[in-house]
Amino acid sequence: MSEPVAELPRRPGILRRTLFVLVFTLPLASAQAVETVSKRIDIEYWLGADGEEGRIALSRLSLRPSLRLRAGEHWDIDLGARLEGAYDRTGLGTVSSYSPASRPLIKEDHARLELDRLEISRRFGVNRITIGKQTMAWGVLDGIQVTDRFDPVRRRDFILTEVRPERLARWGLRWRHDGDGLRADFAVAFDPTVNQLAQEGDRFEPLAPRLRGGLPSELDNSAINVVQSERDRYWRDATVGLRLSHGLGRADASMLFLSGPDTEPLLRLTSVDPQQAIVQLDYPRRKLFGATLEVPDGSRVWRLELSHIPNQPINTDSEIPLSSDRRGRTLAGVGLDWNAPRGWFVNAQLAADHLSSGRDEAVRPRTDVITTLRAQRGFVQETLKFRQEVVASLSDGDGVVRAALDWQISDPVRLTVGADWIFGARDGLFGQYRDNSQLWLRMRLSL
Amino acid sequence: MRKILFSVLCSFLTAAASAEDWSENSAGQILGERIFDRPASAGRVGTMNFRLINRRDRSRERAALMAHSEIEDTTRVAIFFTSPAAIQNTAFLSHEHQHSEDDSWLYLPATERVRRLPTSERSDAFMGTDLSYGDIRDNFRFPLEHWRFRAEGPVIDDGRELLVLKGLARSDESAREMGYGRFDALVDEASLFPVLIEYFDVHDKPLKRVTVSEVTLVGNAWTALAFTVENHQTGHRTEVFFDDMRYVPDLSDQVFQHVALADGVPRIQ
Repeated sequence: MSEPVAELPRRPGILRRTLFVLVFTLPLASAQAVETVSKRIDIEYWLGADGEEGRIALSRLSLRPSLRLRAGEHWDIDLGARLEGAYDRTGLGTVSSYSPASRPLIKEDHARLELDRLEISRRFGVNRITIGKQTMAWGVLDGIQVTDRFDPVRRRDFILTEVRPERLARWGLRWRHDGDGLRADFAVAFDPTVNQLAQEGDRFEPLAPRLRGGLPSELDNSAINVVQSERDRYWRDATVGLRLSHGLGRADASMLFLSGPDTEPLLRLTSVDPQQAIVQLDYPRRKLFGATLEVPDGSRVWRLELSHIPNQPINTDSEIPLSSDRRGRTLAGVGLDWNAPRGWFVNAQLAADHLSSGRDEAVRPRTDVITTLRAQRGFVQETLKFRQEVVASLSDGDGVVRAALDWQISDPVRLTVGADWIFGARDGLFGQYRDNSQLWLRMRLSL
Repeated sequence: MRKILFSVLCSFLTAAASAEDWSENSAGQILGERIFDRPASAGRVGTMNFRLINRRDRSRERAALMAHSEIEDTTRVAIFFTSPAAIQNTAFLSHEHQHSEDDSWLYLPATERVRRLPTSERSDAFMGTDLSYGDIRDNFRFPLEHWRFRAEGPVIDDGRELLVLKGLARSDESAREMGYGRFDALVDEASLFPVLIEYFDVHDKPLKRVTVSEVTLVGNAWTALAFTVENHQTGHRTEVFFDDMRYVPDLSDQVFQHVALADGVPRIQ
């Protein structure tokens, strides 16, 4: 398939964003004193080589400045940006999945400048209102998205990122109330940005039929033109969510609701031309009801999440290519953190993702079962850290084994070397990338 | 000069007893209780500076705003790291309860989430330093449920009379939990603050030396402003000193709420 292209190649709206920034900044101009709380620049280079052939497969340089300011007694400002450059096959990910207001300020083939975060908060006693480009890190599991589905995420590197998930900030408004008992968190993102995907030819371009609406990976890609409608319906495609949290003895419980466009694409055939078929990526709205529970138990912490999506859009397998349906979708996950003896930290998680039955079979398995297991330990005053992780799909019988050694050479310099071994059948969630097993190195300078 | 004196005292202390010929006495028990009952401050705030030095004398430095409060049976400690850049805005919070399990949380900016932590073993190293979680929790006291005490004749250091207090873990389980089998300490009688503690591991091998070089009254509580922890077994040491330590009796509860960790260094009047 060719890469998704926005139908309306509009300018990314630099003027609008500049105005936005000015409107946010004006109240602060009247503040008595603006104080810098923290400032930081991270420069990171990520280099990877194919596990078998040894050729360079990944090469990405990023520079990420961030700044936290404080104005007077009540105002806080957070700013963050990223400038990235990447080698051909590594890729920087799709841009058409962004709303025009969130698109990179500079978008070249091998370089991008993106506003990661711009948020301004004001505290009113136990209430806090934040406006701007921000994220909502909901959920309690690590990287497994059961209830943590407010934010779109970057999928350009599959799941082989340092932090999972890599959230994408969106423009919106958030109100938090931290009362004595009940805590409320209400958010609206007036920004229809959805998950960033790898582009065609990039290392982690989706290949498995389950991620291509059922289309096999052997299909002649030149015969398909993938388009994506402009993500510019800020009001109609807004995401709204509410989370209510409360302590239960020493445990923490929360319930949440959200409604907004699905962040994963639904593939739809819009025209069948003898020369080239047009496939559109759609993101229909859906609702999610969820709950989380976090229970400390001595040297362990148990985490539980449950969610239900009554109207999940899915691609189905029928005589008509790329047909779709809506199904009930239930996700459940359990996780365990354990401070094991001799300084080891262990994290284990198990999650199931189940679709209700319908007339046609879904292109993905009806029940996905994912498990993760991570063990890590620090040595020499935590300057050396060893991490071993397995992420696997029990339903597809595939997965990835990751090992990494992290060395804090000095306060600003960190070097990490690692290996990712991907196994499984080519049509599986992980197995689709079985040729992308890699050895890698990350060098980070934090100033 | 002071170092030499301490070395002499340490030699005296370590030579004087081993776990086998150990016996408690009532003077020791009374002194242990007086130290344990030392007044605590309702709230104090200061900039905490760590220097982590490895066996090759290479050092790394950390700075953090620390807020500390002891009210009734609960000690609350919030630490907001301000430097170096790599750990800026990382925040740690613990609620330590005298009669129940502790609660602790960590905020890592990269994950954008406040994470509840499993209870650490008392003997686990605290955030890469040579202090253990137990050391942080006990705040230069010796928990009565874990130690038996013996007092010995005072010694003179730099013209100052210091009390000698020795402790032996009450049980193997206590020793395992703390990571210490026994200790020998010199205690300043006026402040009831230990100025030197030699800890021995569960196999009675020298483990750590804690040297307190500066204490001051914060509110009505004696507080260490500068101390060093040397680990004899790894060759590492951690130097800790505080700047701008002040008494804040009405420290807001909001500072010690886990959800507030993500908001960064709190405003404290």
